[in-house]
Amino acid sequence: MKKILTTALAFTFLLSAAACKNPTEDSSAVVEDGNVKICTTNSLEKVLQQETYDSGALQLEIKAFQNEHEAAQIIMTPDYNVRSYMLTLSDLTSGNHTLGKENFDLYHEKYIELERDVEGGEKHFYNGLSPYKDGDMSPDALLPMNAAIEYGENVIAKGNNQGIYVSVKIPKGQPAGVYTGNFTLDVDGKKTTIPVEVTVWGYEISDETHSRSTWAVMFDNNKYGEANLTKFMEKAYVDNLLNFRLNPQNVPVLLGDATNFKESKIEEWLDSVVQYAQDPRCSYINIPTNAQKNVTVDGRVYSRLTNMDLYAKTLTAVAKRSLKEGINLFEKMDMWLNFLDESEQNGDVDNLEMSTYLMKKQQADFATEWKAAVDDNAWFADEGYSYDKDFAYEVIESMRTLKQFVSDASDGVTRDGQRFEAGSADLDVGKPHEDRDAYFNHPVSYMTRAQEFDYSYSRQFFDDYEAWYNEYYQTDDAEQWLYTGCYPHYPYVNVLLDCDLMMQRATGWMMQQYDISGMQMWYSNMYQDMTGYNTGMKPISDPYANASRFPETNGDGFTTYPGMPYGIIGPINTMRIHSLRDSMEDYEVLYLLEQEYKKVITDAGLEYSRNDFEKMVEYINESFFEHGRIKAYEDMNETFLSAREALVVLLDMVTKTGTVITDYEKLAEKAVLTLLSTKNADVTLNSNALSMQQEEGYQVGKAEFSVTELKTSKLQVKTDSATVNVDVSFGYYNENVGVETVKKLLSASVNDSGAAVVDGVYRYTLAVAETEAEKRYVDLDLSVYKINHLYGELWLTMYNYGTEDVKFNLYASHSDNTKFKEFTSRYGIHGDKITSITLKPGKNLVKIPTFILLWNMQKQRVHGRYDTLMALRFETTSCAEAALGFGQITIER
Amino acid sequence: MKKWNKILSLLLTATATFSLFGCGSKDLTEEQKAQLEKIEQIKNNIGKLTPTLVNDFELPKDFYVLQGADQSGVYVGKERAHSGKQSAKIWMQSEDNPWSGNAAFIMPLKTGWRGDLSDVSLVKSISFWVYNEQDEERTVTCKMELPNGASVKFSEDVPGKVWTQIVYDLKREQIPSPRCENIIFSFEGNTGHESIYYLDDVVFYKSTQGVQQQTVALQQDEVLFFDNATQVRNIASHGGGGSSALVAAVEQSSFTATGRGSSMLITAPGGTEHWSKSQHWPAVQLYNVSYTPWKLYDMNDELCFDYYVPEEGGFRELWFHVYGSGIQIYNKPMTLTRGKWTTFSVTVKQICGGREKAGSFDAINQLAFCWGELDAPNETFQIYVDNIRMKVNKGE
Repeated sequence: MKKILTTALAFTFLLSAAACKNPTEDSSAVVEDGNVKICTTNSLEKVLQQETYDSGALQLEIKAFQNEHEAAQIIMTPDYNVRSYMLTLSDLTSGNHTLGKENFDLYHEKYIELERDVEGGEKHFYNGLSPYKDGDMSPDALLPMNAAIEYGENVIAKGNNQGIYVSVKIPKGQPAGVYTGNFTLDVDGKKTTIPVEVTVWGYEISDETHSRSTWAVMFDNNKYGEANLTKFMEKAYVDNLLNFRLNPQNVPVLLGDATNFKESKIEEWLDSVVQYAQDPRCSYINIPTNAQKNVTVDGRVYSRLTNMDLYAKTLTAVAKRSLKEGINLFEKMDMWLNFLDESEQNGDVDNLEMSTYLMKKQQADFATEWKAAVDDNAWFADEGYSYDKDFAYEVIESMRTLKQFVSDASDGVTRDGQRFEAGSADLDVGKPHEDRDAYFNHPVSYMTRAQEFDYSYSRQFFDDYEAWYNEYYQTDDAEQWLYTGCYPHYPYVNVLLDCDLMMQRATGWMMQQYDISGMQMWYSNMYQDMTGYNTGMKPISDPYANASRFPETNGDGFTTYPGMPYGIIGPINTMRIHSLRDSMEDYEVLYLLEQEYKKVITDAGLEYSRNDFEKMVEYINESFFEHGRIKAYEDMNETFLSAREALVVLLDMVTKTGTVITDYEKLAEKAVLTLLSTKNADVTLNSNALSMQQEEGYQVGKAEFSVTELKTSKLQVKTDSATVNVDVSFGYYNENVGVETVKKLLSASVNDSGAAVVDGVYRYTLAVAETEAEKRYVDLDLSVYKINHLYGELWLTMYNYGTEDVKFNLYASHSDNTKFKEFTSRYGIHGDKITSITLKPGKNLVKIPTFILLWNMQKQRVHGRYDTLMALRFETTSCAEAALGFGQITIER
Repeated sequence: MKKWNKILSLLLTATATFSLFGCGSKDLTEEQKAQLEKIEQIKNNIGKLTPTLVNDFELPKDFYVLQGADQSGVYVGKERAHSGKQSAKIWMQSEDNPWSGNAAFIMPLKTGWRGDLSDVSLVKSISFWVYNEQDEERTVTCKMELPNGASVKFSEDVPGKVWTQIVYDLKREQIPSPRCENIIFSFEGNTGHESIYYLDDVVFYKSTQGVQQQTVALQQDEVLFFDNATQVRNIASHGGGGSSALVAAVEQSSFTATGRGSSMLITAPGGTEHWSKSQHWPAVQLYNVSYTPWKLYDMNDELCFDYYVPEEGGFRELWFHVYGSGIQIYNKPMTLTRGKWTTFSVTVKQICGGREKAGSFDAINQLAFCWGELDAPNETFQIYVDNIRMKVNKGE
């Protein structure tokens, strides 16, 4: 969807930007029935069925690496009812080389109506952030063009937009170059030539998927939509996910929920495991586990714990099969304990802690026992197993370090007794909690909601936690995962329908920047309606028409549609999952960059640091992404595509000149890149030689860039054999108000309380003190706060330790072009509304009645604190300033 | 558009299931000709029927509401069609997933794009076409699911390699409810081997004259007195072990507790240990009980009935079950008195397990008599049941 918002770019590489071409005379093809406006755009643009749209271009432009998928779109808008259309492909050429038409796939974009006010309730908390609204017809399902033609769906109603999604997979070994040619669009017999340009970059991404994931694709949910409960269909869904570089929750053995696993299923499961363990597309294999109820351990009863007997038998069976097959089947294995999903919210923290304790202990005990047996040549020897000892030790070590992943919905408050409270300078990771006994002070592998990476203290906590995990278990493979679902929404990464495709596309970049190795999705083929929430699943009469299948969401729970009605075995995929695959392929490009980066560092005789590489990724990412938030500029898609091109330049710089970026600093007045080169490169900035300090085996230097004006700097790295030119522009990122300025403003006003913390530009945390002896007020004055971002909403989290109502005055001034419009306070995952007032200029009395929290949030209250998410909505027509201030915050008894 | 008007021109009614072979693709056998003549005769005897297309499987949306059942799958059948371009294909694979058992799928009648077709009060016959891809004859079963767990089920042996029409006349007494939620089609498999079927052109034939409804006037506090023949019809009997040979017979009897009206006689064939090993015990399930205004009764009121067990050939032990909203809420073994009419009673409080009367009691929709092993293979076991009623008591 084309944004109406405008802003300046944070920064961008300006490398052969794909300038939109002017429409030619052919762009308005006249047919006997009327006219059809035809234009083209990139794969990220979500053009609604009924919006006014014209990109102004008529050329399909795609830029991709070898062995990578990329796509572009043709958008048609007729002024009469089109009876049929089709696109005819041709081979493309670049000199003597040909990119065959067989590498292209064509899809008819199907539209689905977005529903914002489901269940007759409140609009989303995020309403107003997302550019989409109730009733919008959003493209989503990508129906293969042949099926669209066969079933007569290649028609267009008068005035509607209709997209054709043109996808290409560049073959491995395809020579780099710019391939051109023409496709022919036939609309009711009238033919229009569509010029095509595909740039193939000379780097090849791996067949092997390195990102990890677990996406729940439930065979039993195919009862609906697919009308199919066979393993055959489950396998089709699993293989489809793998083709999109995503892993299924379980290998296909008709388990459905992993908790249905039982001993009689182990061998069948292993048959499937052996297959997928050797599949390069597969990077994660889940060990299914189930739960036992009311288990007593050391005299204490736990409502549900992992079935340890089954777990031990499973580990033993995997070990034996590994020896039999000569494959370390544990290597890709870990597990998602989905029966302990979101344990904080569901009161399962103790169950989780004890389950993971017991499982880790079982692994450690087996490791000790099995290693001793291998030493004595006795490991399963009585059962006739023979093996190489080194291989056996490798299998055992992989078993010992198996991870139990659990989703963590604690919203940045607590984690198994460890606190990482907002702003705490003293993160107590690894310190035993005084209230917990020995069973409850071990680290766990967490999947964290994507928005948690927005906060520096969270990210610091995650890093510290991983270090603790590695130290505790004497390993180096701690992993941090993320998950999304109905939450978060705009502008964080997610797979929701009422968000831009950049929300999916940025995922792989975010994972690389923060060393997030995997992602989890709770459902991907929910062809049912779960909007009743507690009333279970209901069949839906049209799986292509129900966008909202979980309360207050669009697209949650399904990233595919059933293929069966169109005679297709397996799912029909969506623009969202295509975008996600593109993102996972971007992850692979960054993986390739990291491997090359490591070589440079190693050549320099230095020790590789993941943090340094992440600085380089951050530098690339920052044009479109920050901490998991996507910068919703009008031209964010083009900005992102420019960043991809920057990636090619950086690959050139690393591989051809032995030069890497090892640090990236953002300061109020300037940005500084630290460069390290191993090949005695000559480095110039705007034609001036950059001072490089010579070290043994390498040289380092710092390049400084203006951040107060929109200016492109020319960075050149030149060696005897290669010259790489990098155009760098940071724009006026800090021209108005940056993080540091706001922090100063805030710290000046809340010094006395010591309880308010700022992180990021527009999210603040207020803490209302707990006892009479403590300060009871926080005066927060943002009177010179300036708006230079476009999210339309200012978020604050109020942590209230008491149970009384909170009252304060909110002062708002409306400038000519900026208005604070509305204040709402909300709670809980779905942002249920507590208070809402329309802001007047001047003083506005706000009261947050905590009794609502008391009534609704018994499960949400964590460590004696109620979290209230407050939102200030504003509208702006340009980067301008408005005044906003909080008066004295008081607690009403 | 589908060319199914060919079948619409056939005004078919039958008093049982019939298979109509072929579309003239093969010469008919004498037996087939005889069946056609029989259908024609019946057709001439009964007034015209109006066809309503239920599903011809031509469009994607024809498949939207279909549901898988058991571990089965349905696909779009592009290889064969009785009419039009495609059909529904039932495919039991042999590779990767060796098939065992039968395959089935569910076709809901209420939610499809053609509208709500679940009102079957005027439906006289159902017709559909099946192509059995195998060489040998196979069994195809159609089950119409009615409210409260009741159903109408019929099977037909279908020859191989030919389109076969299956027509079934719905006897009104089999359909106590005017609503049918789902049709379940089931196809015989061949364990370990591939099997393929195609299904096409499911059509309801509706009577233009409507169906005469029967009215039963219940007496005060009556649940089921069995005095009206209709009250003995909406009763399901199953053998537990899955064998139709073990299903009990239910009939109306003039031998009653009061000397007036009728009672219900259950006659169960003796079985073997096969019965005791089945997951579900043999039972007779009474569905005509949801008309009773259950919520009018208090905790001390009693659900009663009279029974008579013959000295010889009588049941030795029975279990009495009560279901509310389809869920079992009460289960009581009965120690049977032989040779005389005896009254069995249970209070509402006992049915509710001592707890406050819940919604499930107010929604009682089934009573059942179950039994376990009857280990005399050559004997039959009987019980007469009469006057199922509520007895109103004053408070404690």
